Amino acid sequence: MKERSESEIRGTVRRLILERVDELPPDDSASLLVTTNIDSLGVVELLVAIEEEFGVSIDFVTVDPVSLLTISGLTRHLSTLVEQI
Amino acid sequence: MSGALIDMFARHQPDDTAVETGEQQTSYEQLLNLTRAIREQIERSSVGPGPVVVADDPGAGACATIAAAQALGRAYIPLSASHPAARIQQILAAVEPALIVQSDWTANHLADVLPDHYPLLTISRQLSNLSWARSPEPGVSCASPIGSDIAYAMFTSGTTGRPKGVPVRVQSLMAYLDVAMKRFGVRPGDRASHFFELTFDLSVHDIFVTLLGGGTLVVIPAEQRMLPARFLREKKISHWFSVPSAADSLHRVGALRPGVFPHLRQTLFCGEPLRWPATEAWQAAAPNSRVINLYGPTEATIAISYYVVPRRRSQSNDIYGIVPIGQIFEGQRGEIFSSSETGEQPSRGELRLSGSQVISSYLDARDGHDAFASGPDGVSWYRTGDAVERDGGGLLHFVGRIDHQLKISGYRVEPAEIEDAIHRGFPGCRSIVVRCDQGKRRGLVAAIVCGEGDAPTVSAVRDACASRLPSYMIPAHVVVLASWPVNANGKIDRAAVRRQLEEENVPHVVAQRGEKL
Repeated sequence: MKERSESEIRGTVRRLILERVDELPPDDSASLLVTTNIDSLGVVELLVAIEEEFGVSIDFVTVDPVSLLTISGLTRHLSTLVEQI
Repeated sequence: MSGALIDMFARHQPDDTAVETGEQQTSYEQLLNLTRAIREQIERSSVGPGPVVVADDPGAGACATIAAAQALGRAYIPLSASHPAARIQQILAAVEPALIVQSDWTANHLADVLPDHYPLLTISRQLSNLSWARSPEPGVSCASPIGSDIAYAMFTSGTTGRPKGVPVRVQSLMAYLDVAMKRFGVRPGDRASHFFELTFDLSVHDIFVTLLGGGTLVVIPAEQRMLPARFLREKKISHWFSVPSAADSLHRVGALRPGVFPHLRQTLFCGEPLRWPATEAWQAAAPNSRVINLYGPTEATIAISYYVVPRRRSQSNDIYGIVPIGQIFEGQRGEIFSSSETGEQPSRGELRLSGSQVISSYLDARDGHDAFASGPDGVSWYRTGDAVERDGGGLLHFVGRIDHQLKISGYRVEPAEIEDAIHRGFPGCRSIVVRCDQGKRRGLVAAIVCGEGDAPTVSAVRDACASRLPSYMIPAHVVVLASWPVNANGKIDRAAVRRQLEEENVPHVVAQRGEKL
């Protein structure tokens, strides 16, 4: 798999979020659930789409779901996972 | 009384943890002391008769307030600080409480919202201090329509454009607890989840069943409810109770791996149809847990039927991929009514309920217009609006709704209430609200057709809803249509609207995106 820089990962995460919300959160550390019109079921679908897009598998048994509710949290977590591939 | 919380707090091991919220642990002794302190504050004051509004988040403070209200023979009414001011004020006007109890945590949110004529008691966050934010005035009391025969009242979505009050009698709660404690009870040492918001009646089960039984009530932070696998493991939950969506979501992301929940011994689901694939995955993930599917509208006190899910699905227990809702609780009655009268009891039709757990009227009697029916023997039946089927073995299966009511994460949503909120904001527009389960627009979607002038923006529509409705009733998506699809009778075809919205690129659908980046 082609290596992706952190900014590429962030860009892809934003694109996938924007496909599902009317407006992106005001900043990358704001919670999607609080600042956008996505609901919890929408977040689950977003996370599945992110896994498919990046070809990674997030371990939802050990990861704190709160860390996956922000663009920075998602980018950080995906950077680690992509490095491991 | 078997269901008196305060008596049982005194009987449980004083050092056992009663309620756990994050790092904060409250022992039974502390909970008892807090309950007594709240009761004394109310008794010693000049608070008039009537119910107690609990304007707090789930936790020890709310549990103690509920126990104190019960000990004083007063009903409690939960209020969410996150709901819009208009809704909170509608509920307060409908119940005319004797006082409101808040925490200093929720007080910030409520400061500008609560009308200034209700006595207001604040519990400090550390539970160490009680203070009157607004003292009761002698001789001032409101005539509440809620008497001392009521245990609690919940507000659900109504078709009239305002929330519908469901008063549940003490006798109904006791009838429920008798069955629940016997069949799904909790004991000292057990760790039971507190998943539900206080405004959702399934929270009554969390609080009463756990604290009467002497277990530990473990509060789940709101942001963990979506995917609670880590929480379940870290907190070593032994008794889980949630809406099926939690299992569906964990199943969807692959978190229900065999054996991941070894501590779980009992799982209850209620509030939505329980689907077999997620159920089987949950059974594998929690090999030591029995799984029970509960069913019941708020009007029938928490739950009124149950099904202990076997380890194997078969032709008989799998109709449409949904787990049966099973059999009606002993002592309660459920019958199937069908409009085609053949003289025999039909096997498919609307489920109607009767018995000590079932309410006989709403807080506002006008809301009961279509909800109650009288049987030939003079018995009053509550019409659930749920279509069910009884199989050859006598098990009930949920089939669907006979009206337009929707379920969003277990919350009942009447599209008419949302459509009313949109109409109030934009009188020139007509809207239809549906739930989409396919495509990229999922969840609640409002379709709008406007007669004249410009269509409103997405954010304007959502703002109009947010000013009147709780967050779970605000459409996630708003789509402007050129015209309505109609059926053969010329009526708007809701199913066709939903199908259009679920399809990605319908040519005459214009997505009005509002102010974009």
